[in-house]
Amino acid sequence: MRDTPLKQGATSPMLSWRDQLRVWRDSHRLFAKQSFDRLWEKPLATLVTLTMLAIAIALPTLLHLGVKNVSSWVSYSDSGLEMTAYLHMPTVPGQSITDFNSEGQALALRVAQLSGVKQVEFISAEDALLRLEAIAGAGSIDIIDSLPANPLPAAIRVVVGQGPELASIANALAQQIEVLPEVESVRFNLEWFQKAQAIVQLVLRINLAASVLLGMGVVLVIGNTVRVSIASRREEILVAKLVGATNAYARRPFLYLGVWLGATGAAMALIISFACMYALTYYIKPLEAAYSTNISIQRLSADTALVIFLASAGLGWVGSWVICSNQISKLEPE
Amino acid sequence: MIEFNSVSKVYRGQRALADLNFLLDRGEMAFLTGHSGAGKSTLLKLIMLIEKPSNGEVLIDGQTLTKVRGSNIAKLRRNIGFVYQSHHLLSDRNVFDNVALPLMVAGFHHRDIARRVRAALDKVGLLSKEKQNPATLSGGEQQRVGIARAVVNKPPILLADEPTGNLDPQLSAEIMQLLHDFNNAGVTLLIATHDLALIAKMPHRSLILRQGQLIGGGHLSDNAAIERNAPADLGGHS
Repeated sequence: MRDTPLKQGATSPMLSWRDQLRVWRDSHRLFAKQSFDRLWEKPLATLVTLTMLAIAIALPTLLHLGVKNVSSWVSYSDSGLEMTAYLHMPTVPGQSITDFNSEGQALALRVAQLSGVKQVEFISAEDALLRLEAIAGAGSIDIIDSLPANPLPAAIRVVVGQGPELASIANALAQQIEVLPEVESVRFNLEWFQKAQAIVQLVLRINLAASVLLGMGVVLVIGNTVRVSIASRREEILVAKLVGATNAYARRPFLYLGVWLGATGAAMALIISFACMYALTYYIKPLEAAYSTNISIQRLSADTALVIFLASAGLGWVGSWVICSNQISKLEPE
Repeated sequence: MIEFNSVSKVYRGQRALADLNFLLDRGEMAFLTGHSGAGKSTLLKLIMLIEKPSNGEVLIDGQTLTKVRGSNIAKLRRNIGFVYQSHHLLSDRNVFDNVALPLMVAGFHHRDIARRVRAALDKVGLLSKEKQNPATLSGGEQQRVGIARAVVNKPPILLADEPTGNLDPQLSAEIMQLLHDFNNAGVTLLIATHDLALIAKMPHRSLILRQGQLIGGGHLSDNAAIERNAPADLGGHS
């Protein structure tokens, strides 16, 4: 027998850090694949679990979409109070529309400097007419076309930033804008905004509470599935430990299982949400025809979908880790 | 290589091992005998860090095992091959993957894994069966797969707990010869068995346990006497 210390025997590989990294990556890849394949060894049980997860994830997602759409339908924007400053009709003789609009743009930039203003947008008279057509729907085009001239004034849309003193800031701002010579009048509905804001905040809070509860549900469902999986693979874990597996190594397939469950559940939830929004479009069509109006549907943004997907996968990891850290280390050969 | 200093083990008030002292040299091969309940398995479990001694200390290669904890336990086990009576092969994977397990766990490169697994299977004469499920193999073949798994990462120490317990004499002799070959290659070997007929054929030290006490084989100087006494001493129980 070679007279070398035990620790440096051939039992552990002699690899460069680059190769070690490669081995580590390969082993993770293998675990990820095996865990995913294992999901489908019992397709029915997996589908039941995934459906539970998908429903738990889809509920807050749909509530979020509901708030987003209703807000959009009532022109409520969470970013702040909307104020519209209507400009005088062009009166200077010989002034071209282009000149008038560039003056309007310049005015908008001046308004943007005022305190409390978060955002400004100049809306030319032509843009205003196009927007009206878009909202009023196809039936209105004939009526609008029959008018001798565009009856709409140009306007500047001002968004007043949110804050505790919104009311006083908004009133002061309105006064400042109203005295500008180009401005005919300023309109905003503070009371309505505050009511809408209160309702939206309430619904958002409810959704947050629901998300937290359902998120805990996701963690528990995944934790339980992982627990069952650990129990059914007890022998394998014990043998692996006897031949020198660390707890971290034994945990790995189950952590992947949790991540896969969370991610697949989220993917199903997103499909459910898209299907619901598609169905909504379908039912809104007759409504649009009846009221000859266009209702724009706010869909789930790619960003939000990504967040939901990653958060669910993360919850899966957490759920699995909580169970693994407890069960795997307890599982020692006897 | 393996050293027991005044080791005792008590399970819920029951004494399993009492004041054990012995030293197994590097490259030595020894048998551990005694009838069921004498403490053979407990002794092996202490070496494998499955159990901790109630008193005294176990040293492997000069390292005190009671001080080893956390992931170092796992790393230490990689230095010890273990052959079981009930071989503990996993039925959800083929022979190759069963033998590869210790290498995967230790983080070997897959290229080295394939080479070493084939070398180990070749050594036990089962290279042609690497793709089969262990459940389709005979008892003797399964035991050989278990041995291949125990030696695949070339551990300096090999322990075996009743490796021939379920086998007929012919197969038992083959398994013992195989284990003996590893000892010739320098592996320190400790085999728990009560197959006295087999022990008698091999010129190795026997550690004899009775009710948790070492009644023979603890010191090299005792050897000759113990080997002569062993069969007679345990005759009634085997």
